[in-house]
This record gives sequence, C-alpha cells and structure tokens, in this order.
Amino acid sequence: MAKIIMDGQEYEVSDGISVVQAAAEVGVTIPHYCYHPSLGAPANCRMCLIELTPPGAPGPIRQLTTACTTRVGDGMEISNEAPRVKQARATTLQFLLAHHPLDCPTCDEAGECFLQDYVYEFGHDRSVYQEIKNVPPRKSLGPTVDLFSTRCIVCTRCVRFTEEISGGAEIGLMHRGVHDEIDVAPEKPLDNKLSGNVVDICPVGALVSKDFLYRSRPWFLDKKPSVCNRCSKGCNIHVESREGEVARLRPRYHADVNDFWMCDDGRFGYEYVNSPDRLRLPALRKNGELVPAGWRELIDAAAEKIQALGGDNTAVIASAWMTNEELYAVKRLAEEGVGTERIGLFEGTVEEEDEVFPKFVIERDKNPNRAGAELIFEDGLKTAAEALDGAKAAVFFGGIPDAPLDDALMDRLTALEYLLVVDILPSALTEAADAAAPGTAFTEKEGCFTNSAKRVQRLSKALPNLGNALAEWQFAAHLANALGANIEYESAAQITDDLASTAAAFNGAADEAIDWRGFCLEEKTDGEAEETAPDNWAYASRFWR
Amino acid sequence: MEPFEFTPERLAQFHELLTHYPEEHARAAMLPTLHLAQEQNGYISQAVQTYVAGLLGVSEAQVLDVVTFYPMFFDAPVGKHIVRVCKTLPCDLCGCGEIIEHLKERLEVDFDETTEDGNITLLSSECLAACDQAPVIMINDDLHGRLTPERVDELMDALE
Amino acid sequence: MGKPKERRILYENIDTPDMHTLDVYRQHGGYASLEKLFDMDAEQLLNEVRDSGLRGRGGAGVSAGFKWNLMGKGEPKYLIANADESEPGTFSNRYILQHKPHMLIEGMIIAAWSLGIHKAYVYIRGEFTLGKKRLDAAIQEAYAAGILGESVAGHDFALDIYTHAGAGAYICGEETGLIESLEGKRGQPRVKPPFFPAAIGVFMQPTMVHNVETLSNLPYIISNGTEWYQSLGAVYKDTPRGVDPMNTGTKLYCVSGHVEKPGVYEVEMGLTVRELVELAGGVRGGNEVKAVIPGGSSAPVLTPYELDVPVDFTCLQMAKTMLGSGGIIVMDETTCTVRALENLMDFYAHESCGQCTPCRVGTPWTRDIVARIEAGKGRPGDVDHLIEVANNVANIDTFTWNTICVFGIAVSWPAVSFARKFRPEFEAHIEQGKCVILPVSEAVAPPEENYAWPQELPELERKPTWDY
Repeated sequence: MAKIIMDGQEYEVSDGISVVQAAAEVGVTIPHYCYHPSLGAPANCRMCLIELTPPGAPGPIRQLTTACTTRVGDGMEISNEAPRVKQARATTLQFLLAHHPLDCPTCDEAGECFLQDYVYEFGHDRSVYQEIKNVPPRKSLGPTVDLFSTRCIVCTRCVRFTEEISGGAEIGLMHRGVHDEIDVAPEKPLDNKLSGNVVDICPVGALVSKDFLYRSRPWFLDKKPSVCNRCSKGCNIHVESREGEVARLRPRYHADVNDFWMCDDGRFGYEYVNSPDRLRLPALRKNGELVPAGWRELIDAAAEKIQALGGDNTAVIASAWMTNEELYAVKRLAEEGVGTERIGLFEGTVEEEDEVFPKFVIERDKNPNRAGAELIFEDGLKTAAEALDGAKAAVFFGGIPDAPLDDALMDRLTALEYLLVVDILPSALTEAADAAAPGTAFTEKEGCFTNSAKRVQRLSKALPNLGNALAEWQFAAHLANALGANIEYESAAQITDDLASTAAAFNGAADEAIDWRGFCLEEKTDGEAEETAPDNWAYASRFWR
Repeated sequence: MEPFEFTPERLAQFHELLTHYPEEHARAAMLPTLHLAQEQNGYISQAVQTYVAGLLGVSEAQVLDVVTFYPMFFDAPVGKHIVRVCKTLPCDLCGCGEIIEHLKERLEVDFDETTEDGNITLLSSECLAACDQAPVIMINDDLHGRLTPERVDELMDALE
Repeated sequence: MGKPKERRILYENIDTPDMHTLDVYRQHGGYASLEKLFDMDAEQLLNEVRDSGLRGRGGAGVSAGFKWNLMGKGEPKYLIANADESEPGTFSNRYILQHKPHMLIEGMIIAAWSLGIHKAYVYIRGEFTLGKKRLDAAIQEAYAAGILGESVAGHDFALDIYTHAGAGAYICGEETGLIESLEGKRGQPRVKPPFFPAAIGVFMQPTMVHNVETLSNLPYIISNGTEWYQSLGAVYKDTPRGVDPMNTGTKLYCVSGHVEKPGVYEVEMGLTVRELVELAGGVRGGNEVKAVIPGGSSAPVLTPYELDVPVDFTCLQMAKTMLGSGGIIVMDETTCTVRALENLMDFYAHESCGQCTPCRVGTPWTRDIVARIEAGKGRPGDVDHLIEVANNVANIDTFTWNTICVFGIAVSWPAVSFARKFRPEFEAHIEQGKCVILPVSEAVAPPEENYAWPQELPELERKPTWDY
C-alpha cells in the first residue's frame, strides 16, 4: 500500500497503480477519455490533468501531469482542486466540444455519455467556439459497428483495442491534425468476434452497435448483472432489457474471467430470447396434435406414463445450458422421482479449438455449464445417446437454441414410447414430443453456471418467465413429487445452499458466499504468485457502464 | 484493382532495407518501403497498401494510417510531375503569393489538383527549409529558388 | 572590440567544390578528430562535451553533456541524427547535408563511441532529396574507406549508420515524434515521462537524439579541445534559476525574410538581433524593421523595441522568447502582422499531429480566428479571445502547456506574442473590417505593456571580441 495525499486528505491506496485507479479506489473521479486500464495509455485526451507533488519534492511541479500515466508512490501529493487543474479540465472539454455536434437528442450514448457527464461536472456552461465545425461523415466500420465521425473525440481507444486485445488492427487513425478520423482500410472491415467491444469502450457516441442503434434510450433499460451462456468461459455481463425484451448484453468487468470484454457470439447471441415463437404454454399431444394444457394435467400425465413404462426404463436428459440449481433438481428428479440411472447430458456445439486473440480467448465448448453438470452428476453422467439406449421413455431438457440434434439421436428420441420435452423454442423435437413444456432462457433464470475454470457465477433473473413457463427446477420438483418424491424448494437459492451442503465439490458455495464476482470451487493455493497485477474492480465500479 | 508487387530490383532493395532495423521491428521499414513503392507505382494504391502490409506484417489500416498522415505519400494517382510550392512565412514575405497565382493561372489548376493532361500536380508545401532562396518551389526532386513569374514559366516550359 | 563578423567553423569551406566527397573533406582536415577520439574513454568524452558548454541546436537548447549523462544503460543503444529540419525560417542543416555530410558522420562517430552505440540513424526530411543523396554517398564512401562498419577507422569499434527519410511531417522533428516515425508509425510524440529517449527511445531502447548542427560541433570540440570551444561565444554570470548561462561556440543563424542578403551566418553567440540583421545586409531597401522572429517560427516575435537583445540562448530566454533553431525571420514595415500570424497559424494547423486534444482543436481554432480578423470579419473582443484560446493550449505567462509535446508552445507563443505586441494593428483590422497595415510606430503596442524586454542584461562573464 502507498500513502498519498489527495486534495489535502490522506489515503492508503494499492501500490503501483495509476493515479486514476488510485483515486477510484478512494471514491474520487478523475475524468478521462483515452485512458483505459486494459489498454496502453497514450495520454492524448488531456482530461485527467492533475497537479502533482512527487514524493519529497518541495512543491508541485510546474507542468500539470496526466493522472493516467502517473503511478502512485508513497508520499505523493495530488490536487484535483487547484484552480489551474479545474481550468485545464474545463478548457480540454471546451476543445472537445468545439467540433462535437449537438445531436444528443438522437445519440445512442446520451445518458451514458462521458462527454455529457464530465461537461456537467467539470466543464463550462457556455460555448465560445464561433468558427466552422468539422462535419466528417457517418460510416459503417463493419457488420456490427457504425461510426458517427462527428462525435468522435479521437481518444483512440478503439484503435488500441484492435491492436492490443483483438489483434487484427482493423481500425486506424487516418489523416492528421483536426482532420483526424477513425476508419478502416477499404475492403477490410472491422469483422472479428470481439468487434462489439469497441462500442463499449467508446466514451462518446461515435461508435455505435448496429444491433442496438435507436433501440432504446439507455435510461429506460433495466440492467441486471448476469453471466453469458455462449461458451464455457462464463463472461460476466449485464443483461439490459426493456418491456420484457432483451435490448442488449454488455460485458461486466471480472479481473479473472473476461476483463472488460465479451465476444460477439455472446453479445449478439440473445435474439432467440426475444423470439415471438417462444414456447409459452404447456402442451400435450391429443389426437396426434399438440394442444395447450394445464401444468397439473401435463405433470400427472407424465408421471402416469413414466410409472407405466417403468422408472428404470426412463431416461432423464439434462442440458449443459442449465444452471447448477436446475441440474441438481433434475438429479433429484432422476434419483428420487423417476428412480433411474439413465441420466444423460444434452449439449450444444463443441468446436475443435479455442479462438485465441492476443488478450482474449473464446472457449471451444459452447456450453456454459458443462463443468457444473459434471460436478453435480459426477460419475453418473452419460451422454444423451447412452442414457437413451434401450429406454422406453424420456424426460428431455433442451433449452439450447439451434442445438445440434443429429439424426441418430433424433431417431432414438422419436422411437420412444413417451417423450416429454422441456424447451424454450419449438423444434423438430418438440414437434415429435408427447408433451412439450415451456422452460426458461438464461435471462429468465435464477441460479449459477460453473465455468470451465470451476468458478460458480450467478445469473440474475432479468426477465419474467414467458406465458405459463415454469423454471426448470420447479418443474423437476413438481414432476418428482408427482412420482412420489418429496422435494420442497421455495427458491433457487435454497437449492444453491442444498447443493453446497450435500455435494462435496460445491463445499462452501452457499448462496450467501457467491457474490457478483463468483465463487471459485478450486481456490488457488495461498502461493506467493498471487496478486501480481493490480485489478481494476474499483476502476470498473466507477467508470464501467 | 490493379495488382502490385515490387520489381525484383526493388524487392532486393526492400530486403536490404529490412537489415537496417532490428528483426522484430520490421514495421520500422514502413516509410522507406512506401517511398520505394511510390517510386514504382506513382502513388500508394489499395493494392500497394495490401502488398506493403503483407511485407511488413501489419494490417492495411496501419499502412493507410501512415499514408494519410504523411503528405508526401499519395493515396490517389498524381501527375507525372509534382510541383510543390512553399507558402510558409519567409516565402510569403518574399512574394510566393504572386508565384502561386501565376502557377495556378498557367496550369489552370488549384492546389492538390492535376493538370488536365495529367502532366503536373500542383501542391502547396510547408517550409522547404531554403528560406534564403525564397520564394522556392520543388519540382519533383529538385529545388528552385529566387523565383520570378518569368523563371516559373521557364521551369514549366521544361516540363511540358 | 570589433563589429560582429562571421566565424566559420562548421561552415568552413562549405562552398569548396566537392566538399561533400571524402577526399576533399579529408584534404581540409576532415576526420582529424578520430585520431584523438579513440584515445579517450567515455568518461573523458562526457566531461569534454559537458565542459564545452555545447547546447542542443535543435530548439530546446539542452546541454549536450547533461543529455549524455542521462543515457540509459540498456543494450543496444541507438543514436539518431535529427535531420528533419522543418522549422520555418531554418535551413542550416540543409547545407550541411548537401555540402559537408562527412562532418555529420564524423560527429556521429564521436557521439557513438562516447556512448557505446553501434547503430545510428539519420532521420532526414523527405524533401531533402539532394541532401539524402549526398549523405548516402558519403556513408558509402565512409564504409569503403573503413571509417564506418565493423571496425571504425581501424579501431575495435563497430558502427553502422543508416539514413531514414521522412515524408513531410513537421512533427517528426520532435524527438519522440521522430522515434515513432522511425518505428514506422505516424509521428505522434510520446508522453514524457516515461518516454524520455535517453531512457526509453527507439525500439524501447536508450536513444540519443541530436540535431545535425549539434553533432557537427563535436569534431571541432574534440580536435581543438574544450578550452578552445569555451573561448567562443558568450557566457553570463548569475543568471536566474532555470536559465543556463552558457552560449559557447558559434551558431548557424539562418536569416530570412526582408533582408538584403538572406543566408546562413555562422557567428559566435553574443551579438544582438540588430547586429545580426546588419550582418545580413540590413533590411531590404533601407526599410524600417517591423518585427523579427528570433528562433524559428515558434519563437515569440520581437518588436523594434527589442532589437538589442543578444541572439543567444540565455538572453532570448530572459526576453520570453527563444533561440530555438536559430531561424531569424525579419519583417519590414510593409508587413501585415495579422497576415504573418495567419500564415504561421496555417502552418501549425496543417502540421499539428492531432494526437492530443488542445493542439488538435486549438491550433486550427486559433488559425480560424486570425484568418477571420485578417479577412475583415473580426469581432470586438477577438484579440483577447485569440489570446485565451492560444493560452489554453500552452500558457506563455506560466510557461506551461496542456499538450503532450512542445508543439503546443510552438503554436501558442507566436499567437500570443503577435496579438499582444501588435495589438493596435489587430484592433485596426477589426475596427475597419479589412486588412490594414499600420506604420511601425502605430502598429506596435507600447513597450511598457506586455514586454519582457528591455530589461537588465545578465552580467557577462565573457563575450566574443570579433577582432579577427
């Protein structure tokens, strides 16, 4: 720790971090645009100027210093309040606004714009620029991102992102001086799987997501912390929704998982959640047709069928897209209700290889909770095909949009005497089922995924269940109880606790112990290699939206 | 898109250039490589950008970034001859205004334009560091000082 | 005491035919310093250069010895000769490169040996085609003669020198902008700290960057000794804190604009602006001086009231301007100072690299205001507005800048100094709504306002006698 004095007050802050980060640690905002803790610091925006007295110096140095490139040192003195600091920040904003359009009313960023916020807090209340504004054109940078050049403040965060994090260096700074413009080379669009991140790091409304453009004013969005479900990495995200629909997904900082980033597969892979085709009502096959039914009717019918065909002839297929809690409820359904050892795992795609970028990896396993399933079912887990081999009935939990259902598996499932499918979208499988029950998408779930690094991470229920849909754990419990079990869960949190107290692998991972940074099942040993790089939690909580 | 690659001689020159810089910093050869390419192609076309990016292991955007920063690189075709007129203060004090007017009138072009026959591109230039000979112009690689409209005419005649 | 006259050292024999060739250079004593050089070790050489008082000729005037002392220990180290001469009004390096390139090579060998450097670059402005051709040929000759390469002049010391042509960006004259450009990127200056080239320079290695003229002084310092060098120029006593009193050696003054005989004048430092203008044949047609820019276009302008300021590092700094690159631009009574400033601001607006906010926006903003005034579209209050905008980029009064590099100063200082010192002419433009050239006596603001000079000169320890 280092002792610093900021604006007359003494603080203890982490050693070796930038003054911007240190100030964030103690709750002080040092405004900045170009600086981002996970990118190189060019100090070009000149917004974070501070008055600095280096340790042991008799007084402040003559030049104002950029807080982003200054590392804290014991005994350092910093002023954010000196009149010349305030003046410098105000004039920097004046410069930034000189060519900036006044299109806040139609700008996507309005409401979460750092230019608005800092002008409000640190800027002048009038404009003195009387010359002609530059009006560079709007352009498309690639399939996912548009650039409103007029709004750009040339902080070059996006340029550095494509150079340092995604590595393709598709975005460059073109021309010179006041004609500086962000652009891509002809026929070389920004088309990589991390492209969406440049929109997040843009501190103004210059880079916009084509997907989100004009979709909603940000202040109408309901924002819930969650975890991405598109691979086993488990990127921390925010689900931002409006009127029961997901409006966008954005990464949430996690030092050990995804830093500030997420991939476009995850970011834009939510459309199925909003699909108008989603299953909303339980349905039973009557006279060859699936017709809406009540839950009681469906569950009683299922229990009857399963009992008739024999529990041990019934396969229970869980999905690698289910939460730990759902999986545990399904496990109890199989063991205590159905009474079968035919427990299989249905899973989404697994690619040949991870997609590796200079500072980000998209994992090959496109199932968010395989690790959870393996830890919960332990050795009892079979593949779906193995579990179905010789079975007469099955309770099948799907929930994986466009899941690869190969013909062999499909043939097995359709050959069953009884098939109950819990899913979220209609598919060939639901069409073939004797009963189809609406389940929940990840944005509607409570509970946790366990990522490939065995970190248990919490999802928020960002949206209500659709129609009459039941959470999968509720459905599993009801069905189990109809089969004679006695499973009493009031909430997903109770299952979390139950899992923590009964499964050795989840020892300690009780509901209370899992915060928004997750709970690591494999605690790192108390080695000395810990804490090499300073983390950015304080920074993220202050500056990451 | 007209394809581009270095002639064998220039490719050899390029490989010699690479030896000037540490191996892991091939990008350092960017400016000299672009000079070479422009010498051959006249301007840095899209094909040249792609070619140079490949040679140096950088992205096209990183090449274009450099090309657009430095005024001596052209990202569009230019005339056979480049005429750069210095218009910075010492030349301005010594009457470059008259020279500029004369050139624009004679060539019937404005700055950054090429004569209709594609012979001459007229550019304005910042200080050419020959203020003792003001007003000066540079025609291709050669500097000409102490200009008068008459002298300009002689020089232009020689280009036509 | 005689009248100031030229004392050619760097420029000695520069007009001699074929001086750019090795043979002719050698016939005139070229490479003589190498005979002494290799008998001296790094520490001796550092002391020699420090004691000589040699200051960087590129603009900032930093003591070369001081800079050498800061050189980092990492390997490899690099040497860069800054031949990106592009400060308006400066043209002395051009002639060194064209006519005496071996002098630069000799200077680079001295610096490289002293600092343990084996790889050096000459970053030469793209427009210097003849200079580059001559320098490349000189380097080839030097390799062939065993002066460069594996074993420099037969000693156990290897040195390679490469030329690297720029492509028309003024900002690449800034040493870290130059380094970025040398690395194949846009010439955007780096943030200092941490990127002081002596510590972290090109390819992130310790790098010594010197102007061509600075390096060209080294052969003479080594050949003739520190004492000899110290005897040239002016040295002051008891200068205020932060003002270096050393102005040893000669300076290549580039005189341009409205003088009878524009050109490079190599004179011992210590003469005044007025004397230098005289040396260049006086103002053209016997006209009155209206304004003089003393150190390249970035230096604050001087008025006729300030012509007795010695043109050296120390006094110009005390007069709140600078010797900079030694480009003296003389403007006579026919000059419109608003138009002159517009021209300069146009230059800076074109050359701003655009990296940092105050400069990217402030530079064209300043230009636009001046252009408006010149076009007769000025508004009351515009002069103060202009000064405020320029001061927000870099403040001349507090000697601070909000930009990454000192380009901010280069924009702000001329703008503020012109607007303040020639305020009556600026106001006349605004009042009359057109370009008005006032007589010198009316165009200049009264000396008691806004001037740092005339003031007491620092006491001289020694000044040249010019009695040769």
